[in-house]
Amino acid sequence: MDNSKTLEEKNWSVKDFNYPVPVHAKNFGYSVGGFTVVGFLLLIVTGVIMALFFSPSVDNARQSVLNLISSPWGMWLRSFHRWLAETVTFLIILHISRIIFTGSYAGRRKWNWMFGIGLLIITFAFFFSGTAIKWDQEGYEAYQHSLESLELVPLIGEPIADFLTGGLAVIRLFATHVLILPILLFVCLVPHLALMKLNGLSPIPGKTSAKTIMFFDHINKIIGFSAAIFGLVAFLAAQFPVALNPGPYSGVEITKPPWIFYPIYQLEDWFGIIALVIFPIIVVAGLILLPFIDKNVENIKTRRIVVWSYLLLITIMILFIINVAVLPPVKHLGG
Amino acid sequence: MLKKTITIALLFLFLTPMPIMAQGDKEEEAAEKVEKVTSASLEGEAQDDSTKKETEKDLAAITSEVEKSTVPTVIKAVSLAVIIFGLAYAYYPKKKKEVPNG
Repeated sequence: MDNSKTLEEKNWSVKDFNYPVPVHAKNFGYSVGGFTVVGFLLLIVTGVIMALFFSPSVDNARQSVLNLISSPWGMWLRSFHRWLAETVTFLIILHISRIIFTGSYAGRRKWNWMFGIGLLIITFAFFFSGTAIKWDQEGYEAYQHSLESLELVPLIGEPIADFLTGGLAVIRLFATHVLILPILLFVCLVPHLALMKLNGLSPIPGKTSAKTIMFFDHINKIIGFSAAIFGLVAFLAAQFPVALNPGPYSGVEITKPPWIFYPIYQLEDWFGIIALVIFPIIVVAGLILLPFIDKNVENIKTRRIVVWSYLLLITIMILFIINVAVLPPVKHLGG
Repeated sequence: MLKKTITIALLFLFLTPMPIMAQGDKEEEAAEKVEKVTSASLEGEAQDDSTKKETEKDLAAITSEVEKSTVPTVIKAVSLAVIIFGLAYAYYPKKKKEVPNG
């Protein structure tokens, strides 16, 4: 770009954004964030189409989903949206893993890490609200869990729980899913991407190379791999359509949450509904503190401790997921 | 720093607003009445009783659906673990080395 010109004098073109980036930008691990953005875009497109057929009310929500999936295209669309949600969550976990393994949260990149934590929380909120609004048995039980856990949050919890209780529950969850959360996503994603441009792509610690590729080559790679990843997701959605439970019925607790919530479900088994409040706070606090604990990316010893601690945490979470998967659902509510 | 973090975390656990106890098995408690959730039921109004047969059929279908999810979930969890450990292997912190240019 020509920096000698003022903003008014600059005649911007697409080529101005084709700047050099480090050669490792083409590595799979350094492209996962890009796949996630493509996944979010596909979720928005499929979500907007589904919203045209959705009736967000307690009495009609499930029936409107049932009407949608009575056609083969509607069934595929809903399954694709749900499979995309799982894939994007999966990719975000991989993205965080790569950042932890390469220490990319440290130093001047720590504010980008903070926006990333915001995006992680928003993704889980999307997953929860999307599960609840279909208002089948799984959705209703998720909703009940959220109400009981909100009541344990000091000051703000009870008013929010009251607001979400009653005949307008589904429309309020729907507004959260399609309006509030997308706005928050935009608010966190724009600075996340802008800071990445400002700070440049983080290096692979221990390796220095002056080799570069052009940014558009990196984007082309992301588009190509995304087509392969999400094409496979589209195939899976057609081959394994997502079920819609009957119901909902109050007074029973016979479903489990989506599998990504199983670790917290396991902790809820042990510690009660309070686990839904305490443990996410502990995990988020740990993630926020990480750049302040491990400040120097070149300190191999500290980084190895961080990597092994993270792998231990992941192993425990995977064991929790497997344990919850093989055991029957447990009653938690009304305790 | 680590000691302080652990101490504060434990302090928070003990200051939680309700006692921590196992919540796993509440079958001994009196069973709640199972009824269909509608806008009327959420507003606390009286509602028509759904037929017992339909409710039982629906609950059986949900239970079967939950049972069927076991194997795919285990596969998803294991594949997630394999990919994360693969990434850890690829990016494991190593001592600095120069990569030749060109």
